[in-house]
Amino acid sequence: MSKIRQIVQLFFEDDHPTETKQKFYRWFLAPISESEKEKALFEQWNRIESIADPSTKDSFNEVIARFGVDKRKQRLRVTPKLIRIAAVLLIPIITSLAAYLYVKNSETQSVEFVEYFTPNANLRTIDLPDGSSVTMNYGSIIVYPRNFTAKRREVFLSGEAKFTVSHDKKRPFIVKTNDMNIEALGTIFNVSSYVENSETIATLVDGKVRIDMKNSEENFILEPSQQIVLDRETGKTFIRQAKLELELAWEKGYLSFQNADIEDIMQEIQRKYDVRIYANYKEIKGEKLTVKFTPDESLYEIFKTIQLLINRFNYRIEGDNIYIY
Amino acid sequence: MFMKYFPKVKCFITRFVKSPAIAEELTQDVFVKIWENFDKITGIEYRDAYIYRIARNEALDFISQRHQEEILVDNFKLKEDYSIEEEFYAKELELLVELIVNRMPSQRRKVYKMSRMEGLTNDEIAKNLNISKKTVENHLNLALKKIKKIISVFSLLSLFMDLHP
Repeated sequence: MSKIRQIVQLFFEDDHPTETKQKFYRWFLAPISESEKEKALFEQWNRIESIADPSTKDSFNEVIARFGVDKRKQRLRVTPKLIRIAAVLLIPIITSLAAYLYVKNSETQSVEFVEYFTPNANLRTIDLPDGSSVTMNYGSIIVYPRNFTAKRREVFLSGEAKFTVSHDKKRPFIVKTNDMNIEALGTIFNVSSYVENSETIATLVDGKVRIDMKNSEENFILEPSQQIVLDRETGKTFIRQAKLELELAWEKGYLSFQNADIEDIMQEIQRKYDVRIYANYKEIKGEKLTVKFTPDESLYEIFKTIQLLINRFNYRIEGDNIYIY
Repeated sequence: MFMKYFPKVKCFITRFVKSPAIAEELTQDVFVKIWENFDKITGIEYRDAYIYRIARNEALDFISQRHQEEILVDNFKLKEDYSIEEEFYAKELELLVELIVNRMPSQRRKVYKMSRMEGLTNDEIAKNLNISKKTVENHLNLALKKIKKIISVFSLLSLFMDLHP
């Protein structure tokens, strides 16, 4: 059995101490081998035999009862604001802990990895150890070593980010995503690689990049304003001219789409507004839109607009949830 | 449908988040979502997969929101020219071994940890736990056998396994 399936299965089958649990969650959430992890998870689901017992009836009654109550009261979630406040308090503690651990371990030349996660409805910019900077879009994760090695600078990304890479001839800067690796010297480029989206797109703003595809031996070199688009469903890649203003508009809070699948559009809306969209995509599958929403547009306005653009598009907005039928 | 799927969702989420109380809460959330949607979503071909997706998202949201925005990941030894992938590979292996060790019976687990993590000799372990040296050796053999069995194909095995005579 593959290692990933083993890990998931062993974790599921038994209780484990807190430290192990944290390691597992960190490992699981890391943007590496995502499809294998997903398969392993689904496998665990399928292994479960469902048996109702007396307590199920009680749970059933509770669920029914909840329909009369404001569901928001029962949220276990911490709101983004709270996470931000917690993070501000946490960071000085974490960074001093990091410094302590690093000094303690520097004799053994060990490496610490740093991981940043921007939840939905959040944008942030981070400075990397070599002076490069990364601006992350909603719902993105990046992982990189606290100190880049002497030979290369590597960053893992799942989600979307714009990289401004500081020039360093001796050390190539490589962004690794699920489907492709992007290598640059001194340059500015944007990568969009969300697991939920049907396309992975890398756009070059300035400089030069080389793209290595993971599923094939292909590689490409981009000129400024070019972008490479991988259609994850068909596996086909193509290069096109990008409208830079459109591509980078997310940094200012715009939602802009260029011939995008309706499903990808819904994913972006979910991430920006931190809502859940439930849809039967059968009716509207294949619809592609080119449209731009300003940062301050509300969900209502956005959906009204989409309804104007697509046939047979019906929706209902209820608080955090949107239903499309 | 509720009666059929509720226990399955709850079992799945419990195994994932490791807390029945939280799982109960999250599972109820899942079914509230499904219920509200029920009349609006027609023609779902794969009901099972649909329910799974909602359950999985609920669980993933929960654990990732517990994640702080900046976290330190464990240290481990590194050689300059290994890529990040090779390092993650090693870390994965480490996690796998840890999961296997956690599931061992308690004395065997203690013996293994004392030997491999604290670096004690078999004699020292025997003294520490008040058991015979032979018992210690047996425990170690069984532990290593188990680990080897699960990891069997990996070439890094030789780095981790260090069989004492």
